[in-house]
Amino acid sequence: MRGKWKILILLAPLAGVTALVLAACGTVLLQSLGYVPAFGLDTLTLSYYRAVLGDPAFLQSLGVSLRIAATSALLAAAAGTAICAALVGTGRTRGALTYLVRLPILVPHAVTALFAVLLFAQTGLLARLAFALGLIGDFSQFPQLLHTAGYQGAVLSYLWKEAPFVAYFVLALMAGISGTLGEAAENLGASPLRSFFTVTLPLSMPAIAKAFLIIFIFAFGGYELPMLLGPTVPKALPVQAYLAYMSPELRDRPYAMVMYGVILLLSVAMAALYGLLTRALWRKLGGERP
Amino acid sequence: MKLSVKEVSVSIGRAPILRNVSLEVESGELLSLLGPSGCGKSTLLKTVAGILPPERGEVWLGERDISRCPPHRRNTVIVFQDLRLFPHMTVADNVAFPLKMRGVGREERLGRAAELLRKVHLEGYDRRAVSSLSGGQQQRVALARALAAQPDLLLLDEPFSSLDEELREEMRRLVLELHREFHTTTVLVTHDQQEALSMADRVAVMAGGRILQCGSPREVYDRPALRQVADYFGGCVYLPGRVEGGRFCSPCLSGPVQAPDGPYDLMLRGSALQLDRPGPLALRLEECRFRGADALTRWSLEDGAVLERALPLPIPWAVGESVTCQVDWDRTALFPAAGGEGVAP
Repeated sequence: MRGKWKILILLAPLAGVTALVLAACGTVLLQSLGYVPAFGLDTLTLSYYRAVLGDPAFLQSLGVSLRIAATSALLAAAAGTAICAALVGTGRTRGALTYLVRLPILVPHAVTALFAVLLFAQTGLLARLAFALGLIGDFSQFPQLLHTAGYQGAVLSYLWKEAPFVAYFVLALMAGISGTLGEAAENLGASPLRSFFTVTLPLSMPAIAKAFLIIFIFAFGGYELPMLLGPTVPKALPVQAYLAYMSPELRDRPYAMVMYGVILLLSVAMAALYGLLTRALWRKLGGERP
Repeated sequence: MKLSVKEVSVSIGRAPILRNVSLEVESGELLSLLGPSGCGKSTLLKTVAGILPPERGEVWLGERDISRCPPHRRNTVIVFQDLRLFPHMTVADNVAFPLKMRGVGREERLGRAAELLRKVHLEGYDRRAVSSLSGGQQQRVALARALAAQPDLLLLDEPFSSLDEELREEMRRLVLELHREFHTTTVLVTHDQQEALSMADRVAVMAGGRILQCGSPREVYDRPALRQVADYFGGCVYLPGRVEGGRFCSPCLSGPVQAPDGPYDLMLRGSALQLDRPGPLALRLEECRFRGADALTRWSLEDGAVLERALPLPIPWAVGESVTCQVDWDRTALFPAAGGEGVAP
């Protein structure tokens, strides 16, 4: 009995946070269906969904956000895996270098945006360096990376912050596989490179895919970088949703909530995929299902 | 192919693991590295395979110095204690892996894998997932995979330690069968004395990062070169005495030996007792424990020392009965009382 109480007390904070998240999600979904009694809206309807999903501006924003998320996650997963492979290959899976690799994870996104401006702006450090080296004759010749419709600035910033996250996320698993099964592969005649590509990498793939999904969800719903480094149009979906939410016309609130609802549903789908990948990883490594 | 380990020292971090180890394994021989856990057996195996770099010394395979050769070019294959089968590949793909690394075509390598699986009594398991196999079956796959590499040297790192006794015996037979067929030079690491003594052509006894003695199973067991080796196998008593004029004399036992005069301890095991031949050694049966196929008897000597000996049933003596017997002097060893190497009596 005492043990039961102990478990309940220990679980209470988690239950509190979960309840808050679920309540917020429920509110978003309810308001997206037009139910906001405080503003005199008390009829459930799909009309807001129909209006938003048929709006070309929304579809453009959705496309922009999916593109930012997919590009950032793909590049970060590739770069992070390469960093991780380099750390494992050189046997530096612990110590100072790993702390250095992890450093960008700790930097807030707003600060990252500032770094991006200082580095990538046409009057930034890289442009000045290129000018000093004689690579460009004029600052305007430096490629424009910030505030462009391609969101290169946001993608580069996500890459800088999330590639180390992938490396950190995958490192322990990859080091473990490389030290046992990779070693066995080399012992059976595989060169270190072939051992990596035939054994270590395939077995690390579920973890890499999980890291990809986390970054994808984060970049898809991320507000700061697209807001600070993106163009006026097309806007990323979270920026568009925020602006709709801040609209002085309170009865337009359901439109904002539809956008948040889309972000939420996509995130839930990704989370489900994450769960499936976790199972796949366990099966691949021959363990029991969690 | 002949393996020569020449004065190899290995440290992990700052801890010295192997100290000046030299060892030769003849072509086609099965040598067992025997010793307690942590004595450096597996480290020696990994050094030979190139997984651990030696601090000093050389490793030769035939006429080739492989000390600086990367692991994948050595053709020295380990069957690891934890097997290390690739969980994302089928049984056949696991076995065919070394052939794939050599560029052998898919059809040919899968054919060879099927053939090897037949040899380890796993015919028809080709498409099975590794995780669906039992421990013993996984062991066989690991063995077949190692043989698929056609290694110049096969290194078995305590491969049977996770199996129950019945399976272990079955695997030992299989390994000996395959060794007779393929004649691969083999090093078997084990801490199981019976395994080493029953399987190997020669046994190298290790302790503290050194090889204490290397010889035939009978040599290392019956004629240990050091007290440490004798104590490792256990079951022995030391009778203090003197050698004078080619005769060892102690209060319990005396007999002819070939050793310079001086004080010695005679190592005596139950296995050296010739209980069916009356002789100079007086014994008393203290205990007789029935074990099914035989009985374990405990005999006390006049000085109180106790020896054990397994005997076939029925036991012709009653507990408490005194007998005298001969000693097989070829199964005893003399150690100078002041310490030092043993002498064959």
